[in-house]
Amino acid sequence: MSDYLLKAESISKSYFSDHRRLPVLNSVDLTIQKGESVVITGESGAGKSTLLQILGTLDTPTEGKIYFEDQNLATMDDYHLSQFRNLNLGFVFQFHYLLEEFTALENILLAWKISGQNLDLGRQKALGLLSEVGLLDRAEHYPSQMSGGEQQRIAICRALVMSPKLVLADEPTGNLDHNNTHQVADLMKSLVQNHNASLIVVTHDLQLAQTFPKHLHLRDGRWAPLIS
Amino acid sequence: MKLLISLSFKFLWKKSFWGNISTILSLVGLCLGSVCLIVTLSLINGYEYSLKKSVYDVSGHLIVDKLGRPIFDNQKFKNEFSEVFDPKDIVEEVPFVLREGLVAKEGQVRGVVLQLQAASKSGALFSRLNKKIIKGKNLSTDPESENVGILVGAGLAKSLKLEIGEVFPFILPYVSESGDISRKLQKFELVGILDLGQHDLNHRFVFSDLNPLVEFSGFSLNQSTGVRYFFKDPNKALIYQSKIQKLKGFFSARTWKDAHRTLFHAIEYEKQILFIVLSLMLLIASFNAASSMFLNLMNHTKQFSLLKSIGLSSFKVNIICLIQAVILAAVGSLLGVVISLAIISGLGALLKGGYIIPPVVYKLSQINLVVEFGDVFLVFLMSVFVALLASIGPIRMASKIKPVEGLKYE
Ligand SMILES: Nc1ncnc2c1ncn2[C@@H]1O[C@H](COP(=O)(O)OP(=O)(O)OP(=O)(O)O)[C@@H](O)[C@H]1O
Ligand SMILES: [Mg+2]
Repeated sequence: MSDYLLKAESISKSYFSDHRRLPVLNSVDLTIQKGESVVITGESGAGKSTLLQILGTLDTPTEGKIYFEDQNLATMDDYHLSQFRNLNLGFVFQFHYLLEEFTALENILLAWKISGQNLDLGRQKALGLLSEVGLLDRAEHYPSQMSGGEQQRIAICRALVMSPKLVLADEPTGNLDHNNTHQVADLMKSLVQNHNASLIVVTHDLQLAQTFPKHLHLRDGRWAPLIS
Repeated sequence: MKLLISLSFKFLWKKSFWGNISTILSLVGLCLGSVCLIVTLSLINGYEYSLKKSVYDVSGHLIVDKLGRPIFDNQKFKNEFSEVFDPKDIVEEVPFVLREGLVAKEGQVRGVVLQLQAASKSGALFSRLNKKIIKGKNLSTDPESENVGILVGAGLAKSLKLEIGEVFPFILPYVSESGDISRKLQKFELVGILDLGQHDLNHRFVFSDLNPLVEFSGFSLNQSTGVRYFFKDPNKALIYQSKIQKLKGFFSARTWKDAHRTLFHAIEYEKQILFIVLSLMLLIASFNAASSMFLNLMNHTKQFSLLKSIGLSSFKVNIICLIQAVILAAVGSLLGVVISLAIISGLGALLKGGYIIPPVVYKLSQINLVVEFGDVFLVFLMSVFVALLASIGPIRMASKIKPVEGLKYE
């Protein structure tokens, strides 16, 4: 059994347009330990989102390998990757992406329903999470009936309902005001800790980044020392 | 699966009308395609049906007569054919006499066919004509009446301005054994006017009772020019026809099909060609459905990306699209069938009044709409099939959505 949760080895990513190569990531290495929380910062266009999506198997690297508990993710087909994401990963995006057609509770339960597990159990779990984020009374509300901060808290519940081993958050507070930013970020950190998960957060909010034990900085597609 | 179905429905149907407009339009398209097909087919069926019925009622399903020898003895005929016909198939057999002659009024003359039946047996044919009497009454075997009664077609009555109760002469050309041509004259009283359903029948046919006309017609009561058969199943006529044609002797057998052979063929072709042409309409409608499905898919790229990120496989995304296609196809086609049936019943009433298509054009005085459920079912299946065919493109595109695409930028 591996001692790390996720290991990325020399990840490179280039986009091709008009026969020109546009390098975005350049041989990036990264190891995440079990239960570890990491924040990644960088200027706009540095490749933060791209890296996070590659780590979350939503995108494929041009070069490099990713291991999740010793398993090479590149060897999995669509079906197994979907299952892998369903069971092991939780995503929080800048734009909360709740499905408008479903209530808060239903949104949280989507991944659970996809997994096909017992729904009563899932509902209990979801309600538990809702009460942890203080939105139990909003379970039957639709996204359009909630504020941005509330929606983001629902999105965090959704990311955690399957008890994933790794939560990936891309600018989770990018759309929120100062107060909400810290509220949501603290909530996320404590929830992830309570559920024994690892956390990777991407942000360009340096103040927020300072509250994390481990801070990585990306510049021009490589790790770089943070110059403040 | 429950999740997939609820996702399909929720992505397909928005709460606002305008959000659904493209779905609605593609439903309407599919629906119209089926409506055109079903209504047109039922018009053609109705035409064929009306034509057949008007032929049946007057001519029977099968006519047997003797080539070149118009007169035969009813009893002898019966004995000869006792082995040919199965009595169980026969509803009625009616010996009849046909004589061609002239009807004259105020200097105008019309050539007509006089059809005679012996009164004891006339119940059969003439009762069939009961429903076709549009003025006056049916022939009664009333021995009290002075004049011999006659029924005439509506066309003839109109062209000669004949009124009920009017008495007019019928002239019968007559060739003696020596070859001399002379004529016989008989006065008839107009009892009833018939609508025989077909233009030429209405102008050419008159009916009367053989009993008082034995001397005039030259036929005795047990002689006839031919026998009409009515069967339980009209299609039996074709079987008996080929049976009789194999017999030696001079008998000829004609069915309702022979009476309008080319017309029935033409209807068959017309039906096939219209079916093909209108099927193309369905095909066009299916493109509509495909485009609305593409649109729906594009509008939900973000949602599908998100669902993929939380573990929905491409295969399940395909299933969602397939369910949507099935819903569209089934609802559109079903709506088409329902609306068609509604239109047909409405149109049926209009056609009964003789509006829309002047009946004479099609040689019929009335056109009905006849729904054949086989046709309706076929159209339904075709429309569903075509709509599903159209969904192949969107479904393939859906499975190619990369989760990252929908999530990148707002
Ligand atoms: N599909 C694509 N084709 C071409 N270039 C792309 C594509 N997607 C991303 N890029 C480029 O890759 C670079 C990195 O993008 P990325 O979204 O990872 O940046 P980021 O660090 O997350 O920036 P931000 O802080 O603004 O979100 C950008 O320059 C972007 O223009
Ligand atoms: Mg980004």
